[in-house]
Amino acid sequence: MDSATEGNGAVASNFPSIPTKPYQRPNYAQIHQSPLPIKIYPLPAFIPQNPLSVLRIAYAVLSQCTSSSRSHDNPYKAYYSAADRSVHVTDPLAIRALWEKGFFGKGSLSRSEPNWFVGERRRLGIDNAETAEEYTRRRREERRQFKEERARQERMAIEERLNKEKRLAVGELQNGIVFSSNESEDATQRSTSSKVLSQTPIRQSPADSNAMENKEHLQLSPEEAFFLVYGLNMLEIVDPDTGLVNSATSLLRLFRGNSYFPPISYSSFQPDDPFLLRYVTYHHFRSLGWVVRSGIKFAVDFLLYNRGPAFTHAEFAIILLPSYSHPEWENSTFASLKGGERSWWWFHSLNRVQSHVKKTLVCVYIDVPPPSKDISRFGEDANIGSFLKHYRVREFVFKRWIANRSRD
Amino acid sequence: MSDIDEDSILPIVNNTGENELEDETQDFRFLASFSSSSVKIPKRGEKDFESHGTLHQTSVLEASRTAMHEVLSQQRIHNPRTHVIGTYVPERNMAYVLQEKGNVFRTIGTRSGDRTWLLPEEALYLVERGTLDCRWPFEQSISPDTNDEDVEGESKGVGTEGDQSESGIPMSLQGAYAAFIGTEINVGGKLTLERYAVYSNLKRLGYHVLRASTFDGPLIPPPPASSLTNWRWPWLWNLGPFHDLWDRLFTPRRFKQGPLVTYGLYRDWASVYRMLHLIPRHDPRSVPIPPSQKPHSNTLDDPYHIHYHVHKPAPAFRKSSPGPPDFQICVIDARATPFPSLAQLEGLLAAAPLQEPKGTLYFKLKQGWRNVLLAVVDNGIVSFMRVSEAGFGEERVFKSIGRGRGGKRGRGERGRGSRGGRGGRGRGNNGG
Repeated sequence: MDSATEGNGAVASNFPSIPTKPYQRPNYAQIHQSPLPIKIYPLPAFIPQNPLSVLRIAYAVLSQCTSSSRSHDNPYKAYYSAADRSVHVTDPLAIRALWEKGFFGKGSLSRSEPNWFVGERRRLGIDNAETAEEYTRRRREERRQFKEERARQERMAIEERLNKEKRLAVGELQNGIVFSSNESEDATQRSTSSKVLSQTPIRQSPADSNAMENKEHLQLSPEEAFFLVYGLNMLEIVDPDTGLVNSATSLLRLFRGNSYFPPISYSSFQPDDPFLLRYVTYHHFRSLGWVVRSGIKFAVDFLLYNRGPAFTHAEFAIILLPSYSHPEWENSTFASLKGGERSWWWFHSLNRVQSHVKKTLVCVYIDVPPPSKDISRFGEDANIGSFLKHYRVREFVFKRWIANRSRD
Repeated sequence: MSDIDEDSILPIVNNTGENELEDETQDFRFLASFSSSSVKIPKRGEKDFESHGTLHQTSVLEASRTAMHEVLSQQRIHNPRTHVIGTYVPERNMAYVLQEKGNVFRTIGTRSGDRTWLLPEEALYLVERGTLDCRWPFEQSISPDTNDEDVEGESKGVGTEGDQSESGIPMSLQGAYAAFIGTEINVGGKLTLERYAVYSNLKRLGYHVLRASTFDGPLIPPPPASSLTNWRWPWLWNLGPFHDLWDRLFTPRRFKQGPLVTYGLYRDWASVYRMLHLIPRHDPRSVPIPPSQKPHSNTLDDPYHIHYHVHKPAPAFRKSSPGPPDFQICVIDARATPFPSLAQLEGLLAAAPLQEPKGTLYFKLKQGWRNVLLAVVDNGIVSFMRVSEAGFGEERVFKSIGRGRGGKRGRGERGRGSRGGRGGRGRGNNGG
């Protein structure tokens, strides 16, 4: 496997000639070894039968103490784009690192993994690294053809039966045959022509392909960006005008204000700002080891992956519901409280979507602390951690119960 | 028909897909097997959507139609040996039966003295099923306090043609619905149409359904036995300035502006994830606070409480000692009740027993620590929902990171064969 197909296609600078051997899937367990973009230094295993293993441990401890092996690299640079309310990362190395270590962000031109460049190169016939999008497309095409074939066989069976019945009783039921034979021919023609179209790569000369540039950047959602800044300090969000790095407090202010449209100023912040609710949930599940990604495609807030989207399907779909159980909320007249009640129709439609894609719906209630606990009135010195610790998260799994199948 | 156990009518559904029997049009040919003596489990055929003009299709359709009409045209008779007569008592909005006959009374009714009392839903279910012949009461027995002796004296001669209870005016099915549903707020529990829909639905499927003690509403709160749990919430919230001081002294510096994971040397991922822990996690083992004991909660008209206990059909079931229920069910009117709030769900689940889930990670989370069934009734259509308290905080996913991961190549994003067949027969795609 050459370096370009390893998954580093976005950063490879010298393009190899078109590989002839078939595409092999990269080793995802190797690529996505780290669940977070920081480094750990595990000690070598201690083997009681082998006294030398103690020496190996001692050597590892000593060398790690003296050399500069530390958990954090330099933070990656990014900037906030108010236009699409996301954080952009443009450095290809940072994009790869954030994706591979923890599945952060989404390629701006891709479905999920930032692999537009890889896909383009394959389309132009430079590489043969297959992208996930392409795989999905191929699978859908196969399924469509299978269904077409099945329908054709069904039609043939009907035709045959009709013919048989006609032989038995001549003169009856003739209309069905004509239209069905025509249609089946049409369908096969259509499928072959589409096959030809989708499988012919557009060839370019190598000179053209070298000039190709990667036009994709990584989009981080505000939650992901804040987690990387406040939780891990592996991201620096730079103001594009002044060149200054945003502190965690100013970032929190920026994201809370921009979680409304039009953005609000921080004098009217509430503890149930959409950003805060989302961040609390995001942080809660991330700190338990889940890979949390947006669930917008399934009409929910988040999806939980066990090791990451490269390994498993998301099993859990998270929907957020704010809860106001603190007595201080009782006599307050905040607008956010009034829109809190959801109908059962809303829930049923949501649950129907989730069961169709075989996910488990989890209603996550977030008990919101009262406004008096909010830190928006403090300045740069605010204690973000002690404020976020006032939120409480409860998870409830909702699943359709089928009486017929639960009897024994 | 009424004497055949409903269980045997239901065909066994062996696929685990989302299609349910009730979602489809029935093929009535299976009924033909019941008119004959041999009862076979019918096979479900293929769906046919449009006519394609074959004689075969026409004949199949015709066979199904005749089977249905045949069953409908059969004469239904009440066997005099299983003829049960009940008497309606408006004061209690219940019915009583003097002589139990048949198997149904093994799981239905409460025996007291020489009468078997039937709850409104039980009586209505038996009337609808054709098992019970319910009669309006006599004029003179309207005030049972005075005439009780009289009625019981008369009922000694049960079985003779001149029995008084048999000569009462028969109650029609419409009459039974009008009598039993709705009007008994002060006489032992209000039966709503929604609750009856759920009750009869589950009974027809063979479950044993009993009223829960909280049928009429949440129980009157007992005096707070453990003041500790009662004061937990105010204690958490209302420490005021002390709380701030506590925060200042004992909150690690890294919480203030981050990063939570400080620069350092880490040996394993678990230690990194421990530093990320910030949002309090709920302990599912903690004793839930009943809603009535919570300050500032309005529980008087809270619709979220347990209405029925449901037992799976087991031959050993006895109505006198039903044992712990398999499911606890709460009936909700979808039109009148919004989706539950956190306090309502907590209160509802507080009634459920704690069961530690066992098994794989996904199974444990789906199983949950406590669970309750919600029956959401929307104009007579019941959809059941299982709500469970998932202990996400108990499952530290990060502990399995880096364990047993030696380059497993077969499993991955593209190993989707097992789930690829989803979507079934999308008829829109094949021009059918």
